[in-house]
Amino acid sequence: MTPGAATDQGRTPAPPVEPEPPRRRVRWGAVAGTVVLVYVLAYSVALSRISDRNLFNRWGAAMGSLGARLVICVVVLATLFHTFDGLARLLAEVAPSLAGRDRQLRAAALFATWALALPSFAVIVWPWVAETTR
Amino acid sequence: MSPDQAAATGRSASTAAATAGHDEVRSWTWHIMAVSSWLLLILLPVHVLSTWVLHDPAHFGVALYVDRWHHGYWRLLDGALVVLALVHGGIGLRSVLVGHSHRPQARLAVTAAVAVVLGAVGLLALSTIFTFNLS
Repeated sequence: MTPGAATDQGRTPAPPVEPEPPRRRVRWGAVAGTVVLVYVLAYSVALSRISDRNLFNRWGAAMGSLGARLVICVVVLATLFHTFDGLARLLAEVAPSLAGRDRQLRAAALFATWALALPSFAVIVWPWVAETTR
Repeated sequence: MSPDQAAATGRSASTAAATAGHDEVRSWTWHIMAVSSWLLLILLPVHVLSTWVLHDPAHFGVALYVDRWHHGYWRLLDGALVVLALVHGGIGLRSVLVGHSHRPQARLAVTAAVAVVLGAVGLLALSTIFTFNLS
């Protein structure tokens, strides 16, 4: 039975299906840039207190905890992604022949990011694991 | 999308920038973003690698910087990183924030706030980097 036939028999017609609103795309480049900016601000503030050696060394010791190492991993990931994403955009600008290859450039940036990020995570977290399981 | 907004936001920037003609007049912020991008492309990974990956984060402390800043070029590199990253990030942040406000006064206030906060932090860090007594 067709929907039209159902309506003819006195049933209420189905409400019109509203088109889905377009999903907002997350701008990961901007998110990564924000993470890096927050890191640079925190790093600059920390550096400006280096004259207080005890305080600075206490902060340094805190960087050895697992939580701080995971935060550093996030910063490394954001740095690598922002770097390679930015490089892809710069290349598209320098070489107009690459401008139409947006998907390939994005895939290459993602590959390079994770290819460097995963070993970096291992290097950053491993000393804590080795220390804890000793 | 203005060139500096394009430089600071989103993937659409690649297409926007790539299709921009050479006869287009680009703003000074666009040029600063472009130059700082190329320099940070080297400086930022070098900084992250040398500070957090090649050294155990638990060894982060004054001794690391005393060793490092014995060589003048490391002070220069750290200073350049802070200045360029804050300028680059400041312009990017400003263009994102300004994009959400339509009133000229609000745009001016956002620009001033970003400039003052980042400028103050940058000056503090720079003065420390170049005046820190290693002994």
